[in-house]
Amino acid sequence: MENEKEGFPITALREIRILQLLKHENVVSLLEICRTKATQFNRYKSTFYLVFEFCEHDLAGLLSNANVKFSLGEIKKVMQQLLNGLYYIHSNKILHRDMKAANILLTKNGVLKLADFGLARAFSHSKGQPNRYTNRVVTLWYRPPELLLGERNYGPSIDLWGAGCIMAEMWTRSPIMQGSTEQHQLQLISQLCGSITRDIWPGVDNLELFTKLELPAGQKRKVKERLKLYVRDQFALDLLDKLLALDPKQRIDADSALNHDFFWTDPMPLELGRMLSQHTTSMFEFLAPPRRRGIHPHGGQKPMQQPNPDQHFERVF
Amino acid sequence: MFPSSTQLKFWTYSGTAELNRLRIEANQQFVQKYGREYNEVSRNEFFLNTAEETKIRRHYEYVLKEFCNGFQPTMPRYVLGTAMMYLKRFYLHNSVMNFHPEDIVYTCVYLACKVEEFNVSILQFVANVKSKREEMAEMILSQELLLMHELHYHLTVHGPLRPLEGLFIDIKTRCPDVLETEQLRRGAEDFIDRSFHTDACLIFAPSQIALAALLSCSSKFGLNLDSYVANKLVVSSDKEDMMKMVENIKRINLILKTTETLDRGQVKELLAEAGAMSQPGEQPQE
Repeated sequence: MENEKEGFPITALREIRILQLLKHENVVSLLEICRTKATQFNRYKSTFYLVFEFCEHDLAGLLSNANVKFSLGEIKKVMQQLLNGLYYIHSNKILHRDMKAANILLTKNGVLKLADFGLARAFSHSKGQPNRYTNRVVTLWYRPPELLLGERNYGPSIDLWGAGCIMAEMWTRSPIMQGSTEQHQLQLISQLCGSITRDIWPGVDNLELFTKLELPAGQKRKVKERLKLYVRDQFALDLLDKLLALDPKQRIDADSALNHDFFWTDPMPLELGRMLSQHTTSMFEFLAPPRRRGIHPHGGQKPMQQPNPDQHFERVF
Repeated sequence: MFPSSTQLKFWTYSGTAELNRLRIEANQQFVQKYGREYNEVSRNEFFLNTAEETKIRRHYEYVLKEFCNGFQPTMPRYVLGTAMMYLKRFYLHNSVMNFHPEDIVYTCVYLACKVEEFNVSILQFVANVKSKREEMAEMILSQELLLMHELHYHLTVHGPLRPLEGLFIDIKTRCPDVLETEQLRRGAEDFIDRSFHTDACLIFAPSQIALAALLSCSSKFGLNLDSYVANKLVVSSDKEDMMKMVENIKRINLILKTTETLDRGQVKELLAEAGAMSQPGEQPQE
């Protein structure tokens, strides 16, 4: 609670309300809120703690450990639970807005939990007046093209882009597009998903930054082509292709994704408990060595320019 | 959803008897803590009793409402509902002798603005008071955490206005033969407004208050909503459910009827008395 001119931060209020609303197996559950007493030793500033149920691992930590191997069935289970969580929060009209592997927790029994609702907010489908949400959300590497182009009237599809990035990461084991600036991130996206044009994305030219940023032209879409070096399963490639659709209106939603053949063909989704039971130490991103040293400082620091709402909290897992 | 809310789980009580018990407890706790050196007679004279506390609290409910209604920029009505609920919850477990409602009222409204996403800065907020704006801002920010703590961080409030809107939409879609539903709006909203000054919101589901509001004024306009309620709204075939609902609607009406109007002149005297009582430095700090 340092330097809060407006009192308790509104992002933290939202986080608390959202966590109290959401009750689902695949969403982390808030057990308690406590605060320290304001005393002279902390300059009369309380610190708040949100106490969550304990989860042994986070997905970024697991993926950075080469000894942790996911079979195809296990990858399906991870993605199925992730999409189940997204389906649930989206039907409760909540956007997560910070999807990334480090915010996906796993218990030792293999139950996946979406965590860190520090940037989350409620959304409504705008009638008449378009919504004007901030577009300075989502960690850069997982940020969808519409946010990079300045869209402020966005919806659940922003979280599904992140789900696509995470799904690919299940095979590549490191984030697939590690841009250093917003401009660079858009370049990487175009190189993988093809050029951003009016033809493949009707109305994209209305976005504020469409003309202001440099968008590579003449790029072919190579999602399947490039990812098939890692991903051999045809259904997986097809689902990835649909999650990483440039146009948010064409991007697959959580419900349809859960109905995708990927989850309903052999090998079927497989419980993760057995595989995880071979690993007895916790794996979190912040305990793992940086996954790509030197390219981008990532160790716990979000590549975001906006004030990080996390600084008001220390999380206790 | 209300059925899975903290409101139902932690802040919905069985009836006025339970609420009164909690208020007596809050009052007694304060008196016992700070009245040890008084003998019984002077203690009763010196401290406020629960009935007096209730009058003061109710006075500040009107202060809260008037502040919200005059607020610039215009404040959505559900912000008032949320702030009012915070005020009521806060004084279920605290005595007005311990925390002056003058402070708590504005803190409740400020927190409700944030929670309900009616975004005003603290400067805009205190621009709505006539004087001592800086002191007010400082006071609000210093009390906010205390308020949140006393509310047990249960910040989401379900009010009766949304369900009322839902009932209007439902009647218009499913009972097109009920004409001129809109003429009920004013009366129903008045009913809800009056319910804010009673304990109804601490006892009943917001949708029940909304329905009671709608039914209470429908008879005045000669509209009969009985068949809507019996055949469309309550789909459960269980007769007991229906009886229970009818019973609750009656109880809501009764609470509204029996809540006495407040003599605010009398409260001013009480406040003067209470003001003389609290000495600086004596007020316990969190």
